Amino acid sequence: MKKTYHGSCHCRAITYRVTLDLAEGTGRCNCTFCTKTRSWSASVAPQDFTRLTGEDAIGDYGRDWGEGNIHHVFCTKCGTHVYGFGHIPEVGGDFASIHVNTLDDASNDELLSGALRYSDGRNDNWMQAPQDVRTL
Amino acid sequence: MKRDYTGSCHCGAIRYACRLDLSADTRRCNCSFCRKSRFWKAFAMQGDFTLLQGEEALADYQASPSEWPQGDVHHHFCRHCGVRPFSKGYLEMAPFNGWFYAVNVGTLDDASDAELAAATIRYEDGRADAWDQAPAHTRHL
Repeated sequence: MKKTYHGSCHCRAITYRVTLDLAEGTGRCNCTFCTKTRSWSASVAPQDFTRLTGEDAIGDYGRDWGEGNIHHVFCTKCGTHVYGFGHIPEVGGDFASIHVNTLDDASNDELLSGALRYSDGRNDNWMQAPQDVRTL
Repeated sequence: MKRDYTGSCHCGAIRYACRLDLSADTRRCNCSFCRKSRFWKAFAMQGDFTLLQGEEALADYQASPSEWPQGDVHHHFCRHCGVRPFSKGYLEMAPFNGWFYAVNVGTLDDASDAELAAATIRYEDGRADAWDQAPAHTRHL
């Protein structure tokens, strides 16, 4: 069931509100970016995500990566990667995702209530799990 | 056994070299900082770490409040891509004996999946200020 949560970076300059169903699953990926950030994310409908504060703290590591336009948003004060958004035609156009470890009011049980979906991004094979998921 | 590694942030502005024994000791912690960063660390002592490039790209974060004296911890991240390659801290107790580095092993460029998967992981209950004990829940770390 969808529920509304709140999240933030570590220094709390950036805060957000999001509505999603964590039981629908979360994702981990072995692409170069996700490996270096140890990303654990969940996709959300863009209209279900609202940044509440942090205009002056937004770092945007974004560009056209080839598959589409992706913005990785981090806090320039504390360095926490908080969420991402962009446009990828292959996944239906506009999208948003959050790093679920930045949620402040989701319990561990809620975070782990859905399936963990693994993506073999390193081999540009995002819909398949990589052979080795032990480090993700 | 210790071996040499190199690592970098995602955009490549920051590069470092270090000597680590991944099979002996890596750590994950549930403190607020490690949880928000999904930090997976291995310690490198001062003589085993070299910043190769990117001094000007190193942003520096210290939480407020923090138990660390001002200047004794530097949670670095790349100001361009936001990736945290390492933190730097100062502790007089053994085995640190001064400045040391907590390397984010996810940013190592020449550690294989198999090598990282075989690493020993020690879990730390940082949230309860009990770094020498494992927390009850570790699956999310």
